[in-house]
Parts: sequence; structure tokens; C-alpha cells
Amino acid sequence: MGDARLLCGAAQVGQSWLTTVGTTVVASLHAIWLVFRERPDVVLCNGPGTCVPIAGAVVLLNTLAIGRSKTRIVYIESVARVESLSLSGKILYPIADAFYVQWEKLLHRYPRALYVGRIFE
Amino acid sequence: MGETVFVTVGTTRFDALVAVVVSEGVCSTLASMGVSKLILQVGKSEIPARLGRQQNDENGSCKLGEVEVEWFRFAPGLDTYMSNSQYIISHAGSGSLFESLRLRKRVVAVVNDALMHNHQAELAEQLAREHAILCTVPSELQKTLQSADWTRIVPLGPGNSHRVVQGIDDLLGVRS
Repeated sequence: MGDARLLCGAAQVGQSWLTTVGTTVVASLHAIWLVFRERPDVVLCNGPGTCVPIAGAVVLLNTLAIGRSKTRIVYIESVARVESLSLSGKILYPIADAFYVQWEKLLHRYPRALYVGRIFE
Repeated sequence: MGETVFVTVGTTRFDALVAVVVSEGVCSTLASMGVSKLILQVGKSEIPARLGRQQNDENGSCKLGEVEVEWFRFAPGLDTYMSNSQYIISHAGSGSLFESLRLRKRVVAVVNDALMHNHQAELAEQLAREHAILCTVPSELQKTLQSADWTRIVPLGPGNSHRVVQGIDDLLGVRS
């Protein structure tokens, strides 16, 4: 099993929009640095803002670093999302190599998604 | 000894739920359900006047009719409170709902209809459609409790991580 790396989050719940810009920029820079340093095979994402800068960094890495096998992005949407995607989900939906949802209804609006049922045991 | 109801509003505030739960109508309905104790986790909500004058702003207790009431704002974990109750009246947050269901409690999800774009309602409504919980709004809570038929509740099956694990293995070409 590989290693895990701690990443600072992009934003907190209830954070004001203005400071969110600042923390997102910091998180994005940290994410780009981490992704470029670690060159992961796969990045597993879910839910709130944290994953968007990371996914952005992966897209950047995949574009710039020719000749290496691409980092895959796997997104798992929150179990709380039954009929609509979270904001992160909407952003990652066209980008992810695999986009998993836990409720079947989402397949109607998001046919690229893969239904896996509730995953938490 | 009677039943216990645990009410949780989560980390923010839900004034309407707290107020309606301690209202005369709901309290008398709870009493007729055999409830003798009501424990409220109120978060940042306003403490309703009905709970009387408070010693402090963190916790308190009183008696409303036949029902003993205890309230507090936050606790490090709600597991014990949930385990020791037979009924859980919860805000519609997914964590709270799934935790209550995991403990096999009788769950009433209360959606905050004062909030705009409340996507939390999606999950509560879906779980209610599957008869795992009851789902209502503060103004309908008394009616929901009065007409509740708990025999129609179907326990939620466990989740299963195999499909997503298999999916990721397939994507990576990993043999599992």
C-alpha cells in the first residue's frame, strides 16, 4: 500500500467568500506542489472543495508531463447527494476517469456516472 | 420507565425545530407515545421561552407536563445519547441520519424549510420513500408523530464497498 499525504483543505463550511479565495489559492498551490512531487497513479476525491485544486493539478501534470502514464482521477459523490451533484461533483464530472454515485437517480442526469450503491458499511 | 426522545440539530442552528419540539402540542403527543424524557442537542439555536429561565447558556433542564426535558448545545459525541433513546428527531444532515439508522432507532428527519436550496431534503425524502425513516418539516412535526406507523419502517440494509473497490481495481487494471 502506498503512502498518504496530508493536504490543507480549500475551504471551511460557512467561510466567507472573500477569504475562501485566499485559502483556495493556498490549497491550489499546495496541491500542485504535492501532485507534481508525488506523481500519484490515482487520486481519490470526494465532496467538498478540497479535491478541485488537486484535480486541477492532476490535469496540469497530465498535460505537461508527456511520456508518463497519466494520473487517474476517481471521484466518489457524497451519499447525501440523491438527485443533484455537489459543486465539486459538477466540476469533476467531465474530468474524472471514473465518477461514482451512491444513488441510482443521479444516472438520469449524469449518464457518465457509475452507480455503486451506498458504500459505507 | 418511559421512552426517551433525543433531538439533534447538528452544528448550526435550527430554531424552528427546537421551538416546535418543546411546544405544548408536540409535548403532549410525545407523552401519549409513552415518552417520559426529552433530550435536546440545540447547537446554536435560540432557547425557547417555554424552557423557562436558564441558569446558563450551555445547558439546562425542566419539566414540561409529563415530560422531563434536558438540553445542551454541543457534546464531543452524540453516540451515547442516541443509543439511550428509542426515538431520534434529527435535522436532515446525512451523518446524523445514518448514525441514527445504524443504531436501529426510530428516526424522524426534520427538514429546515426556512433554508434556500436545501439539498439535505433530498436524502431525507429518499430515505422516507424507502420507509427507513419518517420525514417532515417543523410545522408538521406533531401531525407526523401522531400519524406515525412505526411498523411500516424497513431497516436500511448495510452499505457495501465492494462495487466501488472493484470499479477502481478495474480502472487501474489491478487483479483483486
